[in-house]
Amino acid sequence: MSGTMPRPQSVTFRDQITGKINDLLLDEGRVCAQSQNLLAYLAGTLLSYREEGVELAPILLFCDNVDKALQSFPGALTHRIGQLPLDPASGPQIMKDCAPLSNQNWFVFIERTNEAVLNYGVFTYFRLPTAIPLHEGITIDSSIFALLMRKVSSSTIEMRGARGNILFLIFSATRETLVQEEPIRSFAADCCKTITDAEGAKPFNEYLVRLLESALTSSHGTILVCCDGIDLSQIAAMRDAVLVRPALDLFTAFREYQASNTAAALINLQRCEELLAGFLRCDGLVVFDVKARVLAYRVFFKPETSAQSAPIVGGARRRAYEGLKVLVGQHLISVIFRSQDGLTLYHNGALR
Amino acid sequence: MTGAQVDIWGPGPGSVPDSLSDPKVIASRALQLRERERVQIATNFEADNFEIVSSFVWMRSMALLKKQLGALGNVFIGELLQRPDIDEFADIGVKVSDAEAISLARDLGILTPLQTLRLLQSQAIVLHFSGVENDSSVGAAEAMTREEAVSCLRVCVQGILGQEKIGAAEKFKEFRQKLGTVFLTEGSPEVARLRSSPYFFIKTTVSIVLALFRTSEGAEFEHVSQNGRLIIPIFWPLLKDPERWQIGRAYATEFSEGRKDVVRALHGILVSVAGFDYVPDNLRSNTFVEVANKVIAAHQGSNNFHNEPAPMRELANLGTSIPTSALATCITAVLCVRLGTGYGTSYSAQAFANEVIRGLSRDNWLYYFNERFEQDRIILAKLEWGSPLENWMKLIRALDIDPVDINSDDVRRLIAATTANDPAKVKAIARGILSTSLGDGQFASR
Repeated sequence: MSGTMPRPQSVTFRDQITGKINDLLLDEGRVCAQSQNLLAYLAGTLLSYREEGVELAPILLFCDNVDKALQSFPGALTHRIGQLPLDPASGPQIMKDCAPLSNQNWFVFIERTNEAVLNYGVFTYFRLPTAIPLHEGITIDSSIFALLMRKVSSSTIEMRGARGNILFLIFSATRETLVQEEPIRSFAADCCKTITDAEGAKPFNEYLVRLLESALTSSHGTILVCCDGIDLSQIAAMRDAVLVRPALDLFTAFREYQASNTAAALINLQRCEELLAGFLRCDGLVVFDVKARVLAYRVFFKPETSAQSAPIVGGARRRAYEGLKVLVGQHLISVIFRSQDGLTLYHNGALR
Repeated sequence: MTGAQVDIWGPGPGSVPDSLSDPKVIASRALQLRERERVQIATNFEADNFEIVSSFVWMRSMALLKKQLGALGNVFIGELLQRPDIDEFADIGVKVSDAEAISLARDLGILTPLQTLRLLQSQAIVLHFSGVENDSSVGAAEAMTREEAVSCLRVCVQGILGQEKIGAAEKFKEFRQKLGTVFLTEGSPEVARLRSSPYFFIKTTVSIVLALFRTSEGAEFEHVSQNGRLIIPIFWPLLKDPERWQIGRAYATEFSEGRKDVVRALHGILVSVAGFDYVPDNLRSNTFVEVANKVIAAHQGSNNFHNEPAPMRELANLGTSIPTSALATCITAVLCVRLGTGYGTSYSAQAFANEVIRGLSRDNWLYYFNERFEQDRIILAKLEWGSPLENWMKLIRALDIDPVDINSDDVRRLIAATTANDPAKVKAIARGILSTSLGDGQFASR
């Protein structure tokens, strides 16, 4: 008998990832093979990094000069932790030393001091709820070299350069995935529908976009709906809900903070943000009204009919989203869906 | 600055000459008042009701002036006055003190330097008599003179009530408009004129640019952004620290409020002048500026002796570690309380003011004298008056400041005169510095 022995096959994304990172580095004005390899390692590691059983997703800043990169951020403060060779093999040590220190206010920096050496540590800056977030602030000064890496969904790593180039590394076999800001902006606008300019609609809208973007990114997928004064008990498909009484009034908290600028108002607004993040961590839908108040959470959608016009690809949440679209225009103004993979879809009844 | 000074914007000619002293004739030229009001003014003069008529004229003048300033937009006014507490919801009539309105009207070219000086003097007189019933130390026989009342009426009509339309000078409006509609170059006449303007025009231009950053959008913002990047770096070497801090504070505030376009524009400016040292680490300085402004507003309002202690206590309670970016305003506030008015000081506010003063280092005072004093119209105007001047002599002499450490010739001479206990000379030099700060060198003592 003749024939070839079956040989195991494997597919790696490494070439694609390093290739794309190389392109990004080129676009950002830096050519460095070691940087490219280190960033590729970190991207892969960041996807599911754990310490002591706890998942950690630090935001990483890769730059030439951390002081210069953070010059744009008022109140920036850095703590240098160590120095290592500029090599992918340094990645585990950096993550080990810094990842547990990172959280909502502290981030990791890696400073490529020359072709062979890097410094690393953690940094923070003066962050009020309305402040420019790190991933936006990095593009303020396009003359420097700086790259920001963050996990934006369970399968997606985002890399953003100071010149505004963005690379999404999607560790998934599905075709559609993108973290889109436009749906969030549209949904936030719906939630501010009855807030007038005189009341301060514009700054609040900008704040809400950033808040929702951050809350959705840290969630593991969710659905938010916007409605105008509905009684959930009257909607059979949404009757199974936990009502928030009194409603979580983000706008009032924001306005008080803006008007009084006191520590008490700041803490109150932060408390509201934390509760919103909690709602988004729960199963079920979160219901907003047109004054940006959260009326209910853990709302479980039960469609009256299971008939669907077209097969739906996705899990229960995606099916719920498709079902909810029917209610838009009747009971709902709009609905936004964020999958675990980071896919963001928005529907307000308009043809898109 | 070289050669003759130029007013890049300024007021038009007045309709009431200084020689006019008949109240009936002066009142008849108060175009902003109703006929009934003009008659009442004349009648009250005839009845020797000088306090009543002056209070009325003053109140109407200030209300009109503030209303017109308010038409420029609250955010704009807040920026010009460096008052972070004045937002779009603020009532300009309440928030802006009379002295601030007068000083701002000078900056915007509504008033001439002389009108500004006279209005500040009239304000002191009117405020004194409006609070007299609450002040038992003033004798019952003390009354406003006819000359004081006529002087008050005349300057109010000259500067405000006699104008057909009160508002920022046309040239100022043109300049402001150009910043938002035309890309200026180094060779533009506006930039050339600004180069030979008194300092306060440059200072005001910085405030206008910052205010327009906050209020403009679209194409207007693009123009302002580019013009700011042109103008501020040109004048950066001339800017005093408070104005530099103003730009840095604007950056930190805009960053904290999330306005990325404005941040980007300010970033471009700060990079080109290497000015990031002037960006505060946090917004703590805004709180100090806000409370210090409350003290100043209370001091300049009516019933000031009663109203000063609360905000002064608040300022003292903020702690003695005053951020550098707020230092100038805080020292002005403390000096307001310590020097008082021509009729004394607020007794209950003194302990809190002293508490703040105890926390000020010698370097803090030098910073104030080198960076702010020449533009501090509130304090300079006080040195015209007996009691504040007397308090100045006591307070500043005790600081034992060596005049050698002072950069400006005029301020050095003033400090030397203070140390030599020569109040007459201090008064003369202060008047000269004040006139210069108003854009008029004619009264300079040199």
